[in-house]
Amino acid sequence: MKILTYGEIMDAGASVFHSVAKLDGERLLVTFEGVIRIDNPYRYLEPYLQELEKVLPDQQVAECVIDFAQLRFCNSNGFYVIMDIVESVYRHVKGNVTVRRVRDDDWQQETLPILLNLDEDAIASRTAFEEVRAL
Amino acid sequence: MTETPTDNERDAAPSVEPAARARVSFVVDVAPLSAVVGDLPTVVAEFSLALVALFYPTNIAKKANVVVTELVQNIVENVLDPTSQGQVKLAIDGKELVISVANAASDEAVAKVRARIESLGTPAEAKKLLAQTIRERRPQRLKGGLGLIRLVAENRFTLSCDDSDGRLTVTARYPLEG
Repeated sequence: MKILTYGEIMDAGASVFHSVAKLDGERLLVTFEGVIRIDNPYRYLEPYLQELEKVLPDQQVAECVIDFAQLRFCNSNGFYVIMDIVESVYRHVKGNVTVRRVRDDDWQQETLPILLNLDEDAIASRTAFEEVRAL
Repeated sequence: MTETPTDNERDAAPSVEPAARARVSFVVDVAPLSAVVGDLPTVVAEFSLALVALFYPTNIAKKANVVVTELVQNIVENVLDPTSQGQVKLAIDGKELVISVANAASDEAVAKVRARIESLGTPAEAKKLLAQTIRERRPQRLKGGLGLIRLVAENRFTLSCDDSDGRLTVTARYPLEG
């Protein structure tokens, strides 16, 4: 497993959120874990976005999983940064994308599809959901 | 892979165990609002999540968390009078979850919130509005404007607002009995 890059949000001296992009063979896994509650997540995640744009085009990826199962909360200030991360993955990775999400989480069921831009046929046709129980 | 729940399945009120009929409530008053230097929305929201989850299913507690976060965020980001008081109330009784926040607000702010709430419509209509608003505001990464829509579109609350004596109260209600 190779860690390509990661981003982290610190709050009051503690890590409250991190996203990691890692490669296992030709399988790209992008994980989201923790909570996004701060006012301006770009303050912490802008370098991660830039790094994703830099490293993803060079990878050989046959399969991609974006995993939200351990993202416990996202305030509305976090929506755009989630969209930017996901958009970067879709832009640079060919083929299908599996999105893991929590079955009984309102934001992951209702708002996440909007953030993934599933209204676009080109995105929807490449996307499948894997529904999981809250961990 | 598993199937995504249908709209009808998600429209149904969540099942609340017969044992989960506890009456639970709290009120948080903060004055003056200028004294708020820490992350008040997070503190009250996480307390709400933990408290409601003691008595009700996690999906109900998560709804409380989202509502308190977004509404208290609105209070701390829109302080009209730094000497005024902000108030958060939560009450759940097995029939309904009711959360309200109150703060000093100008006539203009009251009119804006009232118009926004009236524009939301049904959850399905609010979901379309949420998608449209995100698309419109994303290029400039504009803050705000999503919280109230989210409460209806995503969490299926009914919103209302009242104003008296220069104070705006926004109330969010979610039925626990279908």
